[in-house]
Amino acid sequence: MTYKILITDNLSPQSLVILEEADDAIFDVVTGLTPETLAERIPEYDALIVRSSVTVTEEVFAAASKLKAVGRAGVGVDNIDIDAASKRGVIVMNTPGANSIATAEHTLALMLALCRHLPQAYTTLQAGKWDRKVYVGRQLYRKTLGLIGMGRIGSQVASRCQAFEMDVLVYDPYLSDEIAQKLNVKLVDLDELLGQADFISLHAAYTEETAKIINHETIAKMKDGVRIVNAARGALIDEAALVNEVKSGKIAGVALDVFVDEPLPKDSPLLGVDNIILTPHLAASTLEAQEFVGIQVIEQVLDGLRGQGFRNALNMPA
Amino acid sequence: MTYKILITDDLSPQSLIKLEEMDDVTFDVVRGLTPEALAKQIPEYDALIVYSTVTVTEAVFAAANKLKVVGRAGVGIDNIDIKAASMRGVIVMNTPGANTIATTEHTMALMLAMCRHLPQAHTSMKTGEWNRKVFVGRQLYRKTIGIVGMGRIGTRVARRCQAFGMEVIAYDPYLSDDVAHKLKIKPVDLNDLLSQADFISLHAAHTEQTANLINRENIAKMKDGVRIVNAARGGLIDTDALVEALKSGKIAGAALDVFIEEPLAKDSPLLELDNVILTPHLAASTIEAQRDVGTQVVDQVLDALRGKDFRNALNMPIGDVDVLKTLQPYLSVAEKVGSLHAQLADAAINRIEIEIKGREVRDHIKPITVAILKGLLSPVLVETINYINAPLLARKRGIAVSETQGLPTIEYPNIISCRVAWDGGEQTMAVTLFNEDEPRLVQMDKYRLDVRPDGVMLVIGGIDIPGFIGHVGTLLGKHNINIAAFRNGRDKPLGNTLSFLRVDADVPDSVMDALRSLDSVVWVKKVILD
Repeated sequence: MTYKILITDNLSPQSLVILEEADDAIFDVVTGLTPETLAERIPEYDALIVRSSVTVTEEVFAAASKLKAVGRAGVGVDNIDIDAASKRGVIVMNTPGANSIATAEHTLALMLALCRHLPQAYTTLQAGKWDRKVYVGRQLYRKTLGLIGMGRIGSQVASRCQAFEMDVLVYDPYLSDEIAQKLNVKLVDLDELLGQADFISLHAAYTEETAKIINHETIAKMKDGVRIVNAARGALIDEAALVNEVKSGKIAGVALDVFVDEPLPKDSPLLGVDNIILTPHLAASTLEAQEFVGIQVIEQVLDGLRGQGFRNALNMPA
Repeated sequence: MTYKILITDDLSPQSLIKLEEMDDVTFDVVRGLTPEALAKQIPEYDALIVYSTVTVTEAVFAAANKLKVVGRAGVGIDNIDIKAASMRGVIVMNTPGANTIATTEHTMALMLAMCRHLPQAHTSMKTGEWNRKVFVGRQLYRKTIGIVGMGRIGTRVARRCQAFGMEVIAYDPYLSDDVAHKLKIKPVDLNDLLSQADFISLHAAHTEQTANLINRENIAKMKDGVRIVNAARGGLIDTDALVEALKSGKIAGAALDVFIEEPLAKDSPLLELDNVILTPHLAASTIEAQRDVGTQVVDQVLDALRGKDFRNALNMPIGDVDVLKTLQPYLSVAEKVGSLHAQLADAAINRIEIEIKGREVRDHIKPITVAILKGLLSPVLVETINYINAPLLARKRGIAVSETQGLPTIEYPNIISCRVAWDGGEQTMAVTLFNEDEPRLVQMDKYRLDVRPDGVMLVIGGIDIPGFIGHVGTLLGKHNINIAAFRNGRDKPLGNTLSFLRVDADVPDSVMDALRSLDSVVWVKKVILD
C-alpha cells in the first residue's frame, strides 16, 4: 500500500527526509495553491499537510475522495474547515507542543525588550544619537507576573520568570490547585491578578470567555504603569482600548506578536505609539520549531495512515 | 560634628531624602564641574560623591584639605586618581552589586533580542511591512552557553540560562570546582569554551589579560555561527576582528552594550551590520539600580565618615599619613609579587605563605598580605579586588593564607618573601625596595636575582651554557624586540639558569615559540605588570 501525500507549504528538509526514506509513501510539495487549485489537485491524495498559508475549504473536502487525514504543521486551525472534514470522516491533526519552547522564549524576549526599550534604543543609536537617560529601564527582579491562561507555554514562561525571581500569579479557571502548587504559582481570580500584576502575559486560548479579555474595564483594574505582553492571540485584546490606555500612560508599555488582523494593516493605530513593541507573529518562528513541527506532523500523518492511531486529532469521530 | 558632602551628579531622590533626614550631614548638589572647578569647590567638604561624568584628578585631591572619602555611585573608577587619593589618606569606595541584577537582565534581553531579530522585526513592522520569513529565529533551549567570568553577574546569568534549558560552561581561572559543582555548571579552559559554545557571554573585568579576549585567533577557534553578547567592557573585544567575522558569517550575531569608545562613533562599522544589536551602555540603567546605587553610596559614605565601616573601599585606609607614605611603595611591590606568582604558577594556587623582615615592614604584615592577594587575584578575577575584599575572596576560592617564618630567602634590610603552592608544585619569591622606592625582585626559588619587576617581562628557565645570553639576545634582536634589562641567576656554573628580561614591547607567540626552540632554553613565560 503506497500512500500519496500532498504538502502545500515549505517543511524543513529534515522532516522531508522521513518521507523520502519511507517505503510506503510518496509525496509532492506544491506551494501557492488557492482553494480552487487545491481542490483540483487533491483527488489522488490520501493525506494533506498544510501550514497556515493555504485555506482548506468545504470545496476542497468535497473533491478529496481519497483523503483520510489533514496534518496541520503548527497549532492554529482557522484555515481548515473542520466541520467539512468531520462530515467526510477526514481526521484533522495539529502539532501542539512543537512550538511551545519557541513561544515561551519569544514571550521572554518581548518582556525584556519592553523593560529595556531595546528596539527604540537601537534605532536611536543607528540614527547617530547616544541617548542614555531616555532609555532607563525596569527590572523584572521581585516584580509580580500575572499570567492569563497557563497551558504548556504559560508554565514554561512561569518557570523562566521564576529564575528572574518574579512572583507568578495565574488566572486560569481550568488549572488545578495541584499543578499550581507543583509549579509554585499562585492561582487567583482575574480581578486579583489585574490588581497586583506589574507584568501581564497572555497565554489563553481564544474562546468566547477570553475574547477581548483585555478591554477598558479590565485595564482600569490594572496597576498604574503595568506592562503587557501578548504572544497568544490578537483577539484577546481590544486594540483600540489598548492604544488609548498606553497613550494615557496607564499602561507603561506593550509588546505584541499577534493582532486582530494579520498582516497588521498599515493604518493600525498600534503602529503610531512609541512604547508599543511589535513583531510579525514570530513566536513560533524558530529554526528548531520549524524542524520539530515538520517532523511531528509527518510522523503523525504516517502513523495515522498506517493504522497506528491519529495523535493530536481535533475531530476524532465518536 | 557635621559632615559636608559634595554631590556632583543626579542621585536618586530616595538617596537625597536619606541625606536630608540626617542630623549630622549637610550636602550640596553641583553638576557639570570640570576638574578645575571641582578643585575650587572641594576644600570645605568632608566627602565627595560622584558618578562617571566628573574626573577627580590629583589637583582636586591636592586642594581637598578636609576630604576623607570619595564615594563612586557605580563600579568603574577610571575617572578617579586613586593613587593620589591613597597618598592623602582619602578612602575611595564604589558600589559593586547595586547594578548586578540590572546588568544580568540586560544580558538576557540582548541575548533573546538577538536570537529573535527583535529590533529589526520591530523596525520592519513600523514601516508597514509584514515580513515573517526573514526573521526566523533561534532557540536557547538545549544550546550551550559559554560564560567568561563567573562573578556576581556571570553566576546570575548562568542561573537564568539554565532556566531556559541551556547547558552552561564557564571559563574563570579562579572558579573553584566546589562552587562550579554547586552552580551545576561545567568549568572549562578558554579553548574548550570557544570550541563548544553556541553562545558566548562576557562577564570579565577588563585587565591586561582579558583585553581583546575576542580577537582573530580566538574567533577562529569558535563554532561556526556562534552568537556573542557583551555587556561587560568594550575592551574585551577587538572590534575589527568582530566586524570581519560578522560579515563572513563565522559569527552569526552579536549583541553589544559596550564599546571601546563611548559614545559609539557615528561612523563605526558596527552600525552598518544587520546581524548586530547595539544599545548605548544601558546595562546598569534601571530605575531600581539607580535607586540602589544612590542609597548604597550614601550609606557607605556616611558609615566611613562616622568611622563605622569602610566596605567596598578600593584603597587601604591607613590613617597615619606618614606611615602610608613609607608603606605605599612596599604595598606596590607586594602587589607585583602577587601578580608574578599568579602569572608564573603552573596551576591554580591554593596556599600562600608570607614572611616579612625589616624595620619598615615588620609591623605591617596585614596590609602587605592584602596587597599580595590583590596582585594575585586581580589579573583574572571578575570583581574589582580591593584591600577590604581580597582576603575574603581568597578564602572563597579556597586559598589558604598564612604568615610564616624561616622561608629560604636571602637577607636584606627590608624583605617580603612569599611562597605559593599548587597541586604538585610551589614557588618562592622575595622582593625588596632599593633606595626606599625602587622595587626589586631579588630571589625566585633557588636563584638570586636583581631585577625591577615592571611592564612586559620574559621569564626564561634555561641551561647555563656559553652563549645562552647571546642566543636569546640575538633572537629577540632579530624580531626587533628591544631588551631593557637582562638579569640572570644560576644555581651553579653550567647548571640551570633563571632569567628575567624586561622588554620594550609585547612579545608575540611566534617569538615565544622561537625562544622555546633554542637549545639552551627549557621554558619561557611572559608576564605583564602594571
